[in-house]
Amino acid sequence: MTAFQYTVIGFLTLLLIWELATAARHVRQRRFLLIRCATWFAAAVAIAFPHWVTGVGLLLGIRRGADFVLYGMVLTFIGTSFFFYSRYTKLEAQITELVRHQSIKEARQGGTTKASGTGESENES
Amino acid sequence: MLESPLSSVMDRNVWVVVPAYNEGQRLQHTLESLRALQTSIVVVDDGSDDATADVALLEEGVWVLRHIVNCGQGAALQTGMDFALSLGAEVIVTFDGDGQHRADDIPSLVQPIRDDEVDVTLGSRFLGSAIGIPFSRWLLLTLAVWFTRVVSGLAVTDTHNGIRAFNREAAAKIRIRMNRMEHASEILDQVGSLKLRYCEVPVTVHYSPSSLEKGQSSWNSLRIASKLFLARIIR
Repeated sequence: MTAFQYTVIGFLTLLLIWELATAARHVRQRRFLLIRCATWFAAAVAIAFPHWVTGVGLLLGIRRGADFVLYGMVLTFIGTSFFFYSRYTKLEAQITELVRHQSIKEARQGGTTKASGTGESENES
Repeated sequence: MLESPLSSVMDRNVWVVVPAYNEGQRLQHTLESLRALQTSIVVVDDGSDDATADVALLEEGVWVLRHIVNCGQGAALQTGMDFALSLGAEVIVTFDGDGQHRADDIPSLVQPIRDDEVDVTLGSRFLGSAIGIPFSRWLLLTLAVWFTRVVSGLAVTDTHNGIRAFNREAAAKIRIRMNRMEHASEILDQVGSLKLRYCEVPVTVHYSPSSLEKGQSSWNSLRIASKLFLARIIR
């Protein structure tokens, strides 16, 4: 193993331990934490045994293991970009609805001094 | 008061929605021109930093809604339309707050709706006149027209014109989800997909140095096109 492999695998091992410890504490976020753990584990394995990655690449008709990793990263990047753009637009729509609701509730008419909404109750309960 | 016989189609059931962002300097003139029509008016101050809302509140009877943050013109229009519908609007007219449009054009937009000939009327500066339009803006708008013809399949002559009118049913069906300037194309998309009856009406758009400052740049038009494309593939 090279110095790079020792360094990165050591770092990934620590990261994995920290993630697993966090997963044990936070039940609600466990799914995403486990996905991250799987990612770090796969990265550590790929760095420790690069010929395995090459083997997978050959199996899929991609000659070099590095190309296999590159294609995977590009696809992941595109997928996550779409995912976060979708999340962003949904969040923007939610904020807009909140702003809209409040502005209508606090509608005012020129020439009068008090706010006058469309009859929506101030008290939801 | 307007002298035109068209003014008979105007009453308080016609609501003019004016989205305004930092229009404190120009809004008063716009509202004064609208007041002569005897319609209901709602100004949506889209999170302005200046006194836009205060200027609007000086006008007797004008409704003022205030977005606490800037959401975009499309969002402001939808807010105004929701409000107008909740107060029983029969016809809703959208009208820019920057003084580009002429209030005198509104009765011509409302008339075909009142006569139940169409559900939506779209103002067209290319059927009417575009005073002081720079060549670059003309070119950009012409490209936008062709883009819309391809994407929406609507044979319109003007696409990003802020003056248009809807009957109550059309206004209730159309839902503007694109907050920024893409809403103009989105509205046309929905007019097409909802199979609403529409026609174009000649209007006059007056360009001034200040209105051009806030208008669409070439870069913005690319952003609009890319956002429309993304909206179609990502939900």
